[in-house]
Amino acid sequence: MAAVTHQAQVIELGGNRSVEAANDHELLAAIRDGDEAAFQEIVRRYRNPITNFVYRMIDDYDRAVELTQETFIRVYTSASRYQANYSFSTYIYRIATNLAISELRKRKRRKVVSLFSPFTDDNGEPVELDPPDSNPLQDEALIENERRQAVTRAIMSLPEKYRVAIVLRDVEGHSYDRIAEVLELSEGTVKSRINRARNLLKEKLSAYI
Amino acid sequence: MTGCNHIRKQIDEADRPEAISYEASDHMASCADCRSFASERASLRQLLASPARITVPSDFDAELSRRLRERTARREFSLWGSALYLRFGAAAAMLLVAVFAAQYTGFISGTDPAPVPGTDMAAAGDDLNRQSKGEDQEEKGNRKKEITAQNITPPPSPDPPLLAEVNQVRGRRPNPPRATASAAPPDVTAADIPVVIVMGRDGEIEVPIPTVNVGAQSLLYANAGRQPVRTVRASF
Repeated sequence: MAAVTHQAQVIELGGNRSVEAANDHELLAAIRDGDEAAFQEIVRRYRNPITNFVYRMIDDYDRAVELTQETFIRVYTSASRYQANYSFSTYIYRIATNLAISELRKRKRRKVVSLFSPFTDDNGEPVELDPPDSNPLQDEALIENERRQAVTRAIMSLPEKYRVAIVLRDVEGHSYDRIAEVLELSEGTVKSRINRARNLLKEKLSAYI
Repeated sequence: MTGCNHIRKQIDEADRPEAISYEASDHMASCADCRSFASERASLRQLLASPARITVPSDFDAELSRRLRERTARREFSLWGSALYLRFGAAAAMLLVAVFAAQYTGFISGTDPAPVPGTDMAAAGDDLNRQSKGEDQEEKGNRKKEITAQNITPPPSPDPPLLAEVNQVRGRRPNPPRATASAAPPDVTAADIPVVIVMGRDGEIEVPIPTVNVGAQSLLYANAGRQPVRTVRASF
């Protein structure tokens, strides 16, 4: 499969609809029938959002790309088992979430220590080390970069269950009911976790709010 | 304060910071704390959404294609490998069965599968009974001499001329000379037949154990000069 080209987008599905116009369920049905162009279209639609989500979860770009590819491989190999009980978006985010959480747990077992959070609090959660920087700020780009890093560090310091909820809600912008489907939790539990995550983030990012 | 908690929950759960209910906005107009809370939440949500969205590398699709091909090939190979393994296993089992069957029927060794007179159970049993009852050793010695003499001068080949011709046509060499029915085989004597001594009220009874030949080696055999005896205690 080469890079997605315009040629792939005009390949027609079983009817007279182009791949580009087909919805996710139609594309999945075409993938089941061995339509590679349909798979390319699915990849084109979801590769950036899924990579972004996984990256926000694990804060490792290369690994995030690998896990995104693994997500698509699982979509492809299990296309025959896919049941359209809920949206495909929920389905693919659920796969990506499971892979990201699995990666975080592996790292926890390997005791990977971030340079920014080498210490833990009483609950075993990483405590961010943020030494004051006495150097004068150069320009807006540096300020923006620092703020971005602070947000990333703050998100990474959250416990796993709060992190996935807040990333899906405030970074990816999913609705509560969608998040509840992805995480297979009740909507009330999701709202509670997001509220708790925001309270934790408010403390860590008070300098930027 | 309970009213504030309710309003803050509504503010927090709003899909967008500005999309709050009339009740909440009415409350915030008169509550500075809730107004501050709403402003703080809006700033936080804006801050979390602000990091630039990352994009995939340019070789993402090519790499995905390569990994997908690898994975598919691995799955096919594992399926093919397991089938191959089963095929080899089945072939080996069939070959083993065929070899045993050929040996048992005498197809390979050319020996007669019919029971050898020397190993006939009835005769062996008689011999052993006589031996156990203390018959004279002289008779036994004479019989051994007979057997030895027969070994030295084997009888003529049992292959009739017609069968020999057929074998020649088929390219098979004629069967080697075999012992006749009247002669005992050279390596099996009555003394080699194992027995079990059963202790009963009437005294000891010796029961000969049948031997089974599988392939070229009997499963249960007796070494010459050493008769394995197993004593079974039983009360009748």
